[in-house]
Amino acid sequence: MKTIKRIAVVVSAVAFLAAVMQAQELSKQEWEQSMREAVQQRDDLKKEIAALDVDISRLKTENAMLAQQGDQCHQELLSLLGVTDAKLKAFAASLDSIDTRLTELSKLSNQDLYLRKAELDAVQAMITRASSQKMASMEEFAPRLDDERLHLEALRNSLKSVLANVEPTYVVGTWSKNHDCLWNIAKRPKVYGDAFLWPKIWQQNRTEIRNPDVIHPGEKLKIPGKSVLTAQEIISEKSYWHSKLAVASADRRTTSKN
Amino acid sequence: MKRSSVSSAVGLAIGVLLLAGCSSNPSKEDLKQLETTKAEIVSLTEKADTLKKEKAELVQANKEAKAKLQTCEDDRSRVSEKLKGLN
Repeated sequence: MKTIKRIAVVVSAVAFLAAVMQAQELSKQEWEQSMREAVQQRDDLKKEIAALDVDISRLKTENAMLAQQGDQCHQELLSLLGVTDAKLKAFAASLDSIDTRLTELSKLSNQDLYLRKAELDAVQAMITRASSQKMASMEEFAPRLDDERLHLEALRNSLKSVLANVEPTYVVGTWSKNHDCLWNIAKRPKVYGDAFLWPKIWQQNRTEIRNPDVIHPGEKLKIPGKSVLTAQEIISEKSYWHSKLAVASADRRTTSKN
Repeated sequence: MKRSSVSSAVGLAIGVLLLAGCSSNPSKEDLKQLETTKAEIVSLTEKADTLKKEKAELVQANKEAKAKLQTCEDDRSRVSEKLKGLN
């Protein structure tokens, strides 16, 4: 009985080992299946590569043709514009330069922009000059010039708001050196360039200037914007001249009595 | 009784071994063939990827060249119109 049990254990062990070995190895059927799939995949890839080769070849030919057409078109355009590639590059560089200056100006504080306001005119001149060129109508440049115009306009608007808040001043010099009086100050080109506008300065600085014939060196006068005299300024001017005449006739009377 | 049981057990063991040993397995050549095909697939996949990348670059270049040509043609006609206006 014992022997039978031992034999049964051995047989079971052998059967188990045989089953494990069988499971680890690839069966012929499985190999055939894998082989079929691999061959199919390989053939598909070969077809895909062949199709890609055709596409690439077609694209290369098409790109070469496009490059040739592009060159031809570019040459015709240059000939129409009457410029060379170098001039085209120089034009692009001039627009770059405008961009740089505008960017630099737009970074300034309002105070600094006010001090460098003359540069806006210089940039305006550059834009006008560039716009007058035939090259300005090219798609590469036209939108850039439009942007630059808008940018400059925005800066001018900023400057306007600055000017509305910043009132220019004038520091009075000495009579011996500068011949400064309200008449002469108003006459200066940088002030009004019109001596008859002196009452504007007087009225604007009425608290400091009680007598318009007397101003002191070092005094800082506020200069209002140039415009025709207001009714108040005309009245003040008239009253000034009346008082001057009154003083003059009084002087004459005193002199004649003596 | 005992002898017949032993004989049956031995017979069973031999049967099991024969069953395991005689089932059909692929040969070494077959396995090698499968490995070669798989290696070929890897290589072809790499090549296809490279070609796909090249094609994508060419398609992009094509697109850019077409746009550039269109821009040039637009410029050419615009400048021609402008010059006609000047003459």
